[in-house]
Amino acid sequence: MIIVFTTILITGLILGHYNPVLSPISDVSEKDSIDSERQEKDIENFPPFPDVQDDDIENTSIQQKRGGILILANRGDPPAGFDTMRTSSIALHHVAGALFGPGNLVMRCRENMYLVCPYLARSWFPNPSFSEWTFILRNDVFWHDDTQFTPDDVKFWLNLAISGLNVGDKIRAPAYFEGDLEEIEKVEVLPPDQVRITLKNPNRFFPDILANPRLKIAHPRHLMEPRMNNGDVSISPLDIELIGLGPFKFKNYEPGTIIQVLRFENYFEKDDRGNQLPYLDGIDYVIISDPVAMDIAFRTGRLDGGARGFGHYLSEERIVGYTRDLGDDVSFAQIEGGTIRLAFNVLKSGPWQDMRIRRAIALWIDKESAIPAVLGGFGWTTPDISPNNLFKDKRFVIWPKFDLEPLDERRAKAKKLMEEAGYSNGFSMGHLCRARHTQACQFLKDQLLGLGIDLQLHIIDEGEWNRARVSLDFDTQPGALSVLPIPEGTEGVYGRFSISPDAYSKHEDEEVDRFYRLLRDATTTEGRIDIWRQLQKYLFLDKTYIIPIAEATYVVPYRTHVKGLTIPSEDGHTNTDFATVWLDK
Amino acid sequence: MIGTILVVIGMIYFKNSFSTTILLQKFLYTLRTKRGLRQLTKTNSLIFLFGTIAAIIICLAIFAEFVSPYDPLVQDITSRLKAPGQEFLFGSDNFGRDVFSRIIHGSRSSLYIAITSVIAGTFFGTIIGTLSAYLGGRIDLVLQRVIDTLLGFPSLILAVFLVVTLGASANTLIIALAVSLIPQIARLSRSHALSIKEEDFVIVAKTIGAQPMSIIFKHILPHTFGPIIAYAAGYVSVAIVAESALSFLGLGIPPPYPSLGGMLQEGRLYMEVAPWITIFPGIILSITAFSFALLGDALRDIFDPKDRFYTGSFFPLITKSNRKRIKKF
Repeated sequence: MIIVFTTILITGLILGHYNPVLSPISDVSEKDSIDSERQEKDIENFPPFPDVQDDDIENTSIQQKRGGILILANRGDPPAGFDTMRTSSIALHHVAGALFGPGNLVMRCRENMYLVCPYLARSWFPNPSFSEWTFILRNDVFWHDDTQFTPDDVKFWLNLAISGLNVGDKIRAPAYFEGDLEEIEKVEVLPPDQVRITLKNPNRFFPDILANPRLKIAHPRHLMEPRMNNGDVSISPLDIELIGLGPFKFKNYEPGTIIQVLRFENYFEKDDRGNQLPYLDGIDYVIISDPVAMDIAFRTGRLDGGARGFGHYLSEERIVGYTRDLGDDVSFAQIEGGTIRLAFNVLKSGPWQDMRIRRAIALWIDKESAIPAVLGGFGWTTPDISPNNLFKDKRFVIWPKFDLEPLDERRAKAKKLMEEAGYSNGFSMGHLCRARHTQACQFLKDQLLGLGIDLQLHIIDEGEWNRARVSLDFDTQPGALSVLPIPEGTEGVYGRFSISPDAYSKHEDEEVDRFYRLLRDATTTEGRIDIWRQLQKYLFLDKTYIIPIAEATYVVPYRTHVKGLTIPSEDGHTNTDFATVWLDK
Repeated sequence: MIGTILVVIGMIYFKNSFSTTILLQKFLYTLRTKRGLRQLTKTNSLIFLFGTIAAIIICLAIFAEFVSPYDPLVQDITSRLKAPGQEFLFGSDNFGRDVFSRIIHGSRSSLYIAITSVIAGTFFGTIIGTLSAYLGGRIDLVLQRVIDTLLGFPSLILAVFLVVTLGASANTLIIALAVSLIPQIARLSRSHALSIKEEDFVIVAKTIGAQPMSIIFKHILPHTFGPIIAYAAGYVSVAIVAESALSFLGLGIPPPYPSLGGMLQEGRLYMEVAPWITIFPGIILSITAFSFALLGDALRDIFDPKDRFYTGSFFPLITKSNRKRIKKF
């Protein structure tokens, strides 16, 4: 793998640009002290790693059918006027893939999301120091109003995301993913079809950061800029009829009921045989906020696919009903999802400022129990930093090797630590709890009760959650933000509070900065993995700012006549464009 | 606790009310004597049955700690989704918690919230309505427009608005349900107080120089008590259902603390593999609401015999001949 990667890298540099970028997935270095016998056992116990779907293989040998309307459930109304700069909500991004496309200049490859594929840019190349990246745009990309997509659109979108906008006394805030792009110093248009992005620091993995499927271009310059200059700085995509670049164009939106999109005839992507994508005539997203209602609609044949999003993902119990009613007419896509975590606000005074208390909690929690109780029976307890991880293969998943003693031993240690810290009788501690995640909160409350900790649940709606999580106004929180699939992109959720206010745990530990600096400066995959592991150990063991509890496997139902689906191995925000989907009925 | 205090104060306050005393004495006589009890079960067995059930539910709720076999909050993941049996009478839920124990504690929450909110709503509604009627003029005009505005909202929507504004908790639910009851009671007490205000004994009291507060509390309020208590008693079942509805919507008692509505909500996702999580709280909720609705009707008969619509009686006030007359009517 290292040889393949190195060969591609060198070839790419020689040729001036490489396309696509192969994200390095390397063997684990021998210096990592992993017990090989145990590792083998862990690999055997590990749930099947999602490979390329059967459908993908099937697609290469059979003729896709054109036409038809795909009917999918959507978890709710897309918030924030469908503005991809304002929210990472899956209720938006499940729809936004079709409207705005699966990526921006680049995208995660459909068949392997760990690779970077071209999307609006046909190729790209860095300068020798990796501090400048030049993207060459396709010339056959059109907005849904048939206006040509230009490098100026890219510059407008990137500047809007990074800096926001000031018009008089009106201010438009930068995008919520501003932190992911904070390394960008300058964006230049190089006529006729190139964009050069200059970074503050060299970064060899900049395309990987850019390939985040949440970074969708939904802001046509020719429609938005004039209105923004007239003072309408808070204009959203919905205000301009959702004109995008994706495979489907907007047809109709009835809040609380349905979103309908139709095939965009001028879409630029083609399949391997040169056929125009998308295959479908359109998609109807039926808004169903209640998972039980979705189950009923699906099982009675009114839906072709389920919604993505926590709560709507199926549990073992719900699958029973699906298979009983539909038998072989239903298939279940599996996506590795987010983790249940417990993150501390160590900037707020309380017993949890004592590292021994945090360690005691980490040791006490029975992580296995979370899988059936909270994750619907699909998940595992690897104390990984996140499933959204470039190095996610079976060898890396089983890292790190700590807190693996039997539960009784861990709990005895935890009690001892509580005594040493002077809290043998426990204490009370607050916990931000999103209303849609009450099961995880109930689980945590019960777990900590045994340690004498009274976890006070503050159950809040999404609006309050969005406010509170970036404040210092809490003791602990679950930490449920999505992160990038590469370690460099995770600073937004694990970094210092003053740099990353969105971070799960609120701390001002400069050592974490140092780790991220080392990561950015690393030149080899082994080096990155080594630093990444050190950082994980530091966050989870040495400091225990965050306690990873369990990782979910999200299950989405689709009817078997839905073909051409490319289910991402992780991150449900990926592959939501449905451009390659067709209906075999 | 607040409810009990208010009931005791009410009993002391109304001890001099002739009609109330007579009715209560008859009621107690009915329960004390064998003949009375026999006639009670014979004349209206349904009310007796549900009255007994309501009493049992209240007793279980009061002594929940002693009755429930398990702690309703403690999880045992190894016992999750167990079917009803010897180990778990009503089965176990997703976290391995005993459904029976949670129902008992959930009933206590529901009853506490429903009864306390009804007492609070009745108390304030009666005072507002009576004051409005007695004082009249601009105060009456303003108060009635406020009442009209509140009545314009469906009570559940009003309760949802208040819970969303104040945050979900038991106390918020009590306030929300009480606030939705206040305008109804205020309207009722005002209409009765308006007619009583014109009675001779009130005019006489005014003539001899009695203070307005004295007239309101000694002469008017005791005479409006009957219909109000009858209405309030019937509202308890409405409050139980409303509380459950709010809890079902996630606006009630926050988890992990049990409530009947919350249990229905949590059990929905497991309806096919573990229907007992939903069915048993549903049955208990229905029985509780039905029992209190019938009890409310019975109390209406006691305190407001004019509104009696069915032939049975909670105690032997009505003779056979009277019942025939009512049937004809």
